[in-house]
Amino acid sequence: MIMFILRRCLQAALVLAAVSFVSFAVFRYVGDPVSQMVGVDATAEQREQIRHDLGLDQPFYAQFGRFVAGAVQGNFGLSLKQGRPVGELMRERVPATLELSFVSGALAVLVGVPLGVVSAIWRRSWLARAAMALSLLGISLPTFFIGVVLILVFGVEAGWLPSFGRGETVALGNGWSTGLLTLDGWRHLLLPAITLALFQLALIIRLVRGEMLEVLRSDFIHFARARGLSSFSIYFRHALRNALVPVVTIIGLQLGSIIAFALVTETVFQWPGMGLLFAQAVAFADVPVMAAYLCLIALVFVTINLAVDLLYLLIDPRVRSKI
Amino acid sequence: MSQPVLEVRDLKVEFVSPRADRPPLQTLRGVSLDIAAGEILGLVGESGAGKSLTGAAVLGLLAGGGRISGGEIRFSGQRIDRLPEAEIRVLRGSRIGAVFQDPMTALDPLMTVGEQLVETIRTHRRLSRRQARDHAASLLDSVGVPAAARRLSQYPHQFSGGMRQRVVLALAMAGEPDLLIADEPTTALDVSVQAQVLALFRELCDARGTAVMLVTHDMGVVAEICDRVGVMYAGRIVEIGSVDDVLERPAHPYTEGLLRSIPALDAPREPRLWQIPGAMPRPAAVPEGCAYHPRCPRAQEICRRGNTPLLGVSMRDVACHFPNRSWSSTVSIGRSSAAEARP
Repeated sequence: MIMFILRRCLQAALVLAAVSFVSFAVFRYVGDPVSQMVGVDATAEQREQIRHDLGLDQPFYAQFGRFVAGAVQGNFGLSLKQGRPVGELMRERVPATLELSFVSGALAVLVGVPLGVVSAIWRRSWLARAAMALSLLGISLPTFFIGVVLILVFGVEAGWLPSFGRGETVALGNGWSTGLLTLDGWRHLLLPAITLALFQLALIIRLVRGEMLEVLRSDFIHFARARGLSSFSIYFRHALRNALVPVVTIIGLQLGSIIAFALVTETVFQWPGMGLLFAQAVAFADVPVMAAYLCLIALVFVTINLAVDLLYLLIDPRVRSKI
Repeated sequence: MSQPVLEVRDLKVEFVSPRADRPPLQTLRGVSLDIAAGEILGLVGESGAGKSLTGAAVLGLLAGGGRISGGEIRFSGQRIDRLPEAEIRVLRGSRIGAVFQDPMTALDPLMTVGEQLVETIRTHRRLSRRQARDHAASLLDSVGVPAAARRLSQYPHQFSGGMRQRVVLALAMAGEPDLLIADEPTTALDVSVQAQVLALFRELCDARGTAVMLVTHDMGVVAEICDRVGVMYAGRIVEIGSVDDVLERPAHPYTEGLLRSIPALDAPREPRLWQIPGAMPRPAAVPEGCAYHPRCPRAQEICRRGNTPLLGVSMRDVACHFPNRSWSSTVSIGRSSAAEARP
């Protein structure tokens, strides 16, 4: 068991190393940050001077070495655009993104799993039909479009909800702030959270429904009926638990992609999270910010994967006995 | 004889097609049988003859649009074919138990064997968790699972195939049923384990007086543990009687054909295995008259028309106009030779 966890941690570290290398290497080619930093009338000597000050004239491996050495200490260098430490910029933005992502994820799971179960058990009910229609919309409509429509309907036409920014936040100290403690914060959070959740929600409904239908056809459910168990016990004690085994994996992975894909939603709603920071950094070829963002996303994915693996041990006794 | 535990009279089952323009498929076309307490009735026949379907109909577990369209099922004298789901569910697992073919997939993989036993026991009897667990251990013990108390906390995948089938049997016996429907209970097991599980069936049946409907296609299994046997063909019983009578002295040409197609160990090797010509008709294309007539060597004009009723001939019931009556005079040669004839 301990060996299993250690092995997974080692794999996670290797993945992070690979991602940091790739992200660092790729961003060498997105553009020349120096030309963005200086005016058009800067002389060649001035440009060379800046290049030298930033260490951009050193060979690639030396730059990468410096990047990694700093990164493991949480030091990603200075933003080329804002001149502030990248770590500090990130710390300001992380709470907003995490808040948005977790509320979206919770929304998708709390609404998606029950709807999936209902549409598997009572396949012909109106609720099942409505859930399937909703999931079709969620799967096929692009996120930015959903966001724009929600802004138009609830923000502009009805005027019920704000469509911009994060609203009133409460500082928790240590650079963390939250909008979850104020009504205004929640009002701002609602539209972006729904926008971000809709695709995941649709996916979870379909996944849970499919898995439930599969499990309900299986021999042990048939035998459970022959044992005279109540429908409630058959559906929720036996069928749902078995259906959730693969669903947990997908939900875990999707939580990672929610954080990553928050970028689009954050841009549409001008949500001051990491995604928006990244989008702005790309426009400026702000390499340290971009690299730090990618490394952070990779860290999130790797951590979630690890958590899913461990969760698997908890729910499936067959996996437990194999390691 | 006292009242049979199970009486099935002219049972008809049809499957409604999801497409409205198609007529329902008649899959059981009038099945009649009785099972007395402590008796094991074997149901044999080719795949699709309706053996499993008969068991499922008795359990009220017809799936995929199947419904009882005629006849009646009586359990201890009470009609159960029209009971609402809530009432038949109370019978299921408590007074009518079931064992299915594949013990590898019949148990919930995420739940310990003990939890599944306790859950079943507590569905049918008012017992505390603690009492139910003790009862579960004694049930496992009674089906021959060694170290029963310790194995309660193990998961199904930690049991071998034979042990799992014992667990399934323990689950089926949890409500101390009067009738056990066993659908191919040994087909998925190794031959050596098969014999043990069959012996266990016989033992439980004798000790508790449980009536058993044993669905199988293995004549060896029938010869080994059944008291009586019903041979099914195309949704009907074509011959039913004691195992000795039917297996030793078959009267219906289909039973004869079925027994002849079992290769015997001691017979000289033939260049090709004997088989009944043709195939059993699909439910949608059952011919008029006796369903077996297109494959029957004795078929006459009368076989192509009308109904062929089950009639008593030489100690058993046969649905045939030309049953083999030559056995009436022969002396019984005992049950053992039938057992030897199995593959």
